[in-house]
Parts: sequence; structure tokens; C-alpha cells
Amino acid sequence: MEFLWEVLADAVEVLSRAGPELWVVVALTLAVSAASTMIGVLLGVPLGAALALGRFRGRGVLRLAVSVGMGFPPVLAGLLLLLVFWRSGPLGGLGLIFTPAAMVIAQVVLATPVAAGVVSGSIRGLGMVPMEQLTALRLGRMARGMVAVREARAGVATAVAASFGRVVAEVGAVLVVGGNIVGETRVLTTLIVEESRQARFGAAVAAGAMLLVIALFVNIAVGRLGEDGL
Amino acid sequence: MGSRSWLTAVLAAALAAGALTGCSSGETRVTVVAGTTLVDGRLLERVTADYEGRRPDVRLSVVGAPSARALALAEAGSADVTITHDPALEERFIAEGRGELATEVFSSRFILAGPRPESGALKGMSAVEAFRWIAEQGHPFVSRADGSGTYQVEREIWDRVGVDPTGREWYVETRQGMGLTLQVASQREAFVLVELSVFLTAEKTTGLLDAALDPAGLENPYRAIAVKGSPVREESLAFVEWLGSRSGREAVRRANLELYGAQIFEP
Amino acid sequence: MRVSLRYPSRDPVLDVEGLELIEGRRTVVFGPNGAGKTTLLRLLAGTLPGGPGWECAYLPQTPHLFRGGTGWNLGLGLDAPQSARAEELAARLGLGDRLSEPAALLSGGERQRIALSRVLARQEPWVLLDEPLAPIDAEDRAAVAKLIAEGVGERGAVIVTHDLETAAALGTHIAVLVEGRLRQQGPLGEVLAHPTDSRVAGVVGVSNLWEGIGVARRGSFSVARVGSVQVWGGGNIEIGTRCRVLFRGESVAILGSEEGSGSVRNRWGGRVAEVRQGGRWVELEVDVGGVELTAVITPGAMDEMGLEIGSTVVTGVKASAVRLLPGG
Repeated sequence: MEFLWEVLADAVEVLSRAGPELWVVVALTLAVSAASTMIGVLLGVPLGAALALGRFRGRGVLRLAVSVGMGFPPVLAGLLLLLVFWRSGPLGGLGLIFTPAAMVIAQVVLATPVAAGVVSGSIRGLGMVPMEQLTALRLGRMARGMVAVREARAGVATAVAASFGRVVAEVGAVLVVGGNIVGETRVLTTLIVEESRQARFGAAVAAGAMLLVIALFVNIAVGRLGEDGL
Repeated sequence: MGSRSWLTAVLAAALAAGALTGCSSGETRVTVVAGTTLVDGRLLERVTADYEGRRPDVRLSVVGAPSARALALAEAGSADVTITHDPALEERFIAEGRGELATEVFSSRFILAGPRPESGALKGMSAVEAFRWIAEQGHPFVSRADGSGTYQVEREIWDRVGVDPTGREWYVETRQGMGLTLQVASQREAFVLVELSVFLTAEKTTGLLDAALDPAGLENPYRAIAVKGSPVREESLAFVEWLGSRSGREAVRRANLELYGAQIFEP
Repeated sequence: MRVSLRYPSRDPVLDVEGLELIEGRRTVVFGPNGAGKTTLLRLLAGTLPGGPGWECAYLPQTPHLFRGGTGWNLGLGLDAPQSARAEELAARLGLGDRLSEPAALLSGGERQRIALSRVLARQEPWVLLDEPLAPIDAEDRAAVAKLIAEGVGERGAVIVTHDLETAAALGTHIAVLVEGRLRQQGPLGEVLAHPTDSRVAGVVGVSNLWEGIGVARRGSFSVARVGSVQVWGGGNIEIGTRCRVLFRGESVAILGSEEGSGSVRNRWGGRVAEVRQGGRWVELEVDVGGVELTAVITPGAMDEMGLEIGSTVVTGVKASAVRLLPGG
């Protein structure tokens, strides 16, 4: 027990004298997670609506890809992107590897299927009555999707929360494509990995606490988004 | 499923568990904490396998850690043998009476690797000259900036140049292992001080070039130390002794040949 | 056109052959719960696979208003002129000032009116309505029915209902569906008065449906003239407008050969034109002043009065058993 108290006391001390170095990490964590969630949701929501409502060739394959993508191992996604963005790899010329941009791309890859899966599920969960009405209205493809997404607004909020949760908590992909470089690509999760590896448990717990606070605030904010409106 | 196939399944599971934990009776476990390079590069794996072949009663658990941390773990009683490459720390460790039978077991060297044209231009320079040139040019340089022996050597060179690169725009600190640091250097077309075996393993993928500096001052000697007060002192001492012995050196040579086709970690 | 529809994945299987649907007619698909009416309509509308999936304006059994404004819902799927028409219809149904409210605040009847306005504003050649009057309060049904008839206009309509009054108010033709099969179809009055078999009679009953013109109003009752006959019945019919008269054959009493007094408002003298024995009941066809009336009586009563073809009788129906429905 004494050991745990020491770690906690240490964590409190780290937080109390948190300098710019920690704030840089927090800021980057927020920026990368927010950007990738936003892009992931922007891509995932139309994709999810298309999967739930559309009748097109390859829908089954796409649906499968989304299910697999929802549980895709982040570190594997990171590895595949590392190969793609490696300087001598197919997209190496972009010079993205070990930059926050690469981290955002990796997390978009992780977030998009989550957003798509959640939205697709909640649209299909609307039930027979709204779905039949939607067909009866004979709307165009876009309008149909927009009405369905609007109706499943709580699902969109869940999609935002789930995507953010996945990316903010994720360490494998950002570590591989970002490199956890101090002041450049270090985020809270990779910091935690690093600190625990170096047995600086107090600092690791302090970073973990920051991560938890961020996750909490985002979930509260997103919960509001899903509630309002009739 | 019949009762017989159940039995088979349970038996197989038990066997698998046994193999995973290696808990056959009568084995003595010796924890060896060694520089990450040795572990990541698989050299130590081969050498310990060789030793375990000779001493079936001993099992060596190898853990990789930067030198400073390896010695700290030993100090905390979590290691029985250390193999590190930070002479200053090792001296202190021995002076404090924490280790015994310190044996220089093999030695590799550091090289400066960097992008092609610039690396070529540094050929034959001393490390200090090369580092000064990098600082003057403000050419990107990637550092591990952790508690590793590699970083110690790098800091000593900077000290001799009289430049503190920390915080400079061209100086990137990864604070991580050699592998990732080398990757970052490769992708940023930066210079990096890297242990030779690591460089050779990743030479193709990194696309960096050995600057072929004057090797003076870039030696990288590894020392094995048996930790005093280890509960398996006898086995620890025997292993360290063997590493320094003719037979141990033979094992290191074989491992070098198999892995690199040359004597990179020279015994 | 004759339509055949089959939908095997329900119990009982829907298997309709030769359903006659003709543009300009409003065909009521009538039947008890579980007869397959809604499935039939869904197949026509294309919301279930395996049917023709017509170009149609379709009102589902439970129309849904989506989360958002009432006005926004009203305009869904409509172009600008259609939207304007929908707003006009909604205003006529008393919802003109509710369009800025969230749809979730509307009552069931109000939602139905919005959904109806939205469907009737569309321009497709067919209008399919599933129980359009069910969520509407009884006293408002006549007005909504009138709006539906106007909104459909000269197009074809298929209207599903299990309610006889709704059928009489909205249909020109009827198709009776029992356990997934088409049992009888034809002009509404004909089928109501002459069910071909006891199954249909059991479902629809035997009813008189006449067409007339409103001639007077007294409180909640109106008087209509049908040929040379005057009929009192419940309902608000504007004087001079066309209306329908609906009463069941069982409501008709044979008062004997003399015109006596009593509380029965409608009494018409006539001559028995036809007698149909139907097991427990007897259907009498009586010619009252040139109008054909169907009465359902017991065989005992018939024997007692010694009725036969050519007998002169006085028939009577209480005004409260007669419904007068606007339109024609």
C-alpha cells in the first residue's frame, strides 16, 4: 500500500508543478484527437448512412470492412501507415512520417469505421415505422440520408463520443507513426507508456489523470449534443 | 466431446502453460538486465541459449533496459547480472560495492550516420570535428536523450565540442530507444549517433550512410557485472565467468557470425 | 388494370388475384384485422419487396413525423409548388398556425393531418392510403374525408380500412379481403347490399348505401332525398350537396302493411322484389319508390308476416341507425 501512496503523492506533485512540457503534450493530445474525431465523423456518418439505407453493389463487403475496422488493432493500422508514409514508401514524398499529421491520419483510419458503425446501427435501429415513412417520401439519396441522420441524432452523438474515446485512448498507432518525439508528437498515451517504462510511475499516473479528465469533459459535452432538440 | 478428448485438451493446455512459464522443477532462474541494443538485436538471445544448453539447471531471463536503468534495477534487487555500456556508471556501481566480477565481455562501436551527401563529406573526421560541423551548419540531429550508454557517449562528444544542443531547433530528442531514434533520423534526413549493429540491421530501410569517422573515442565496451546480494549468486557468478571465458567468447563469435556475418560485438 | 399480388412470408399468405384497380376510382380494400390489407398496400407502394412498387403518394398506416419542425416535415419530399399546396391543405385542416412548432408537440390526429396534407400534395398518378381516418376524431372525419376526395381528384386511389363508415365515406369501389384472399369486389353500394357469400357478409355485413342530395338540416341530423324517398340520418350535410346514405340491413324493420305511428322517422312503403334465403337470416329486396332497399330479417318473422315476392310492406329505419356522409 505504501508504494501506491507514494506513487499517488508523486503524481500530485507532478501535476502541481506541471510545466509547459506537460501542457504541450495535453494540447497536442486534444488537437490530434479532436481533428481526427471530426474528420472521422465527417467521413463515417455519410458512410454509415449509406450502409444503413443504400442498396448498392459492394455494400456487404463495405459493411464487413466497417465491422472489422471497428475492432482493427491500432498498432497494426499504425504499422501499415508507417510503411505507406515511409520516406521510400508509396507516399513517402509527402514527408508526413513522425508528424502530427500522420497521427491524425492514423486515427482517422481508426475513428471512421467506429463512427460509421455506430451511425449505421442507430439508423437501422430507428425501427420499421420511420424507415417505411422514409421510403414512402421518395426522397433523393442525399435528402434521405440527411433525414435519417437527423432522426438518429443521438446515434451521431454516440458516434462522436465513441470515435473520440477510441482515438484519445489509443497508443499503438500514434506511437508507431508519430514516434512519441518530445515536443512534437508526444501525446498523453505515449507519454504514459514512456513514463511507465522508465518506472516514473508518479508522472505516468499524472498523465493518466489528465487523459481521464479530457475523456470525461468530452463525454459530457457530447451527451448534451445528443439530448437537445425535438 | 467425449471424456477422453476432454482429457487430451486439458493435458495439452497444461503442457502449453508449462512451456510458457518454463516452470519445470529444479531450474534456477537468473535475471539478466542488458542494454536494449543487445536484446533488440538478438545477440544476447543466442549467447544465453548457448549457455543454457551447457547448464540445463539454469534458466536466464533477459530483460532489455538502457544502461542507467539496468544498473538502477540491479540496485533495487531486480537483477542478478547486468550487461551495460556506461563506464562511468559502472565504475560507481562497483565502487559502491554493489557488484563483483566486472568483466569486459565484448565491444562494438558507435558510428555517425546521416544522409548521403553530407555523410560522405565527413569521412575521416574525428567525432568532435563532425559534431562541430553539424552544430555550425544547424543540420538536423536526432538524439535518444535517455539514460542510455549511447546518449552518454553523445553528450561527452558535445561537451568536447563545447556546444549544448538541447533546445536547438535542429536537435530532436526522442527520449526513446535506438530503433525508433534511428527511424526518426532516417525519415528526417538527420544525423544520429548509433551503435553499429543497430545501424547495420536497419541500413536498407533507413537509407542513411555511415559517415566513416575516425573511430577513436567511439568504442562501445560492454561489461557484465554480477550483482552482490543476489539470491542466485553462485549461478550469476558462473554465468559472468563463462562470458569472459574462452568458451563464452566462442559463443559470442558464433552469434556475431550468424547475425551479422562479421564480428560486430568483438569479444 | 388487374393486379395479382403474392407475399408468402406472412401468415396467412397473401395471395390476391385479379384485383381490379382503375384510375379515377377510389377503391377501398376492406377486411378484418390480419386480412393482409396493409401488406397488399405496401406491395403496391414498394415498401415491401416483390410487388409492383408504383409511382405513388403513399400514406403508411402509422405515418411518421421526423424530429424537426412541423413545416419542415410537411415539405419533405415535395417541390416548391407541392409544398405550397401542402401548406394550403394543412391550413384547411386547421393546422396553418402550427407549422413553426416542433412536430413532436402535435397530437396523433394533428400528425395524421400533416401526413395527409403531405401525401395529397404529391402529384403521382396513384394515391395509397392506409387507414387514413383512424386517428381522426369522429366529428372531424367528414371534413377530412371530403379533403381526401378532393385531393385525390381524378387520380386512382387505393384506401385500406376495416371501418365501414370510412369505406362508405371515401370509396367508390370496394375489394373485400379475408385471410389473404380476395373474396369480392365491385362498386361499393352493390357489394355492401349483395355480399356474394356468408364470409363476405360476415365481414362487411349487409348494408344499404344510397346516393342522395341534402335537403334539410335539424341539429345533428340531416335529411337527404334519394330518388323519391326522403331519409333522415345522423350527419351534417349542406343543403343542395351530394351525400351518401349508409345503414345496415339489420336496422331495417318490416312494420307490416299499415303505416302506423311510432318513433321511427324513416318509413317507406314498398313491394318485396326478391327474397334470398341465407341460413339464419333472410334478405329481402324491397322496392321503395324506385329505390332498392335490402332488409335482413329472421325466417320466423318472415313466416309470421307471410311475406313473399310481390307483398306490399312498410319498412322503417330509425334515424339514429342511418349515417349521412357528405360527398358522392
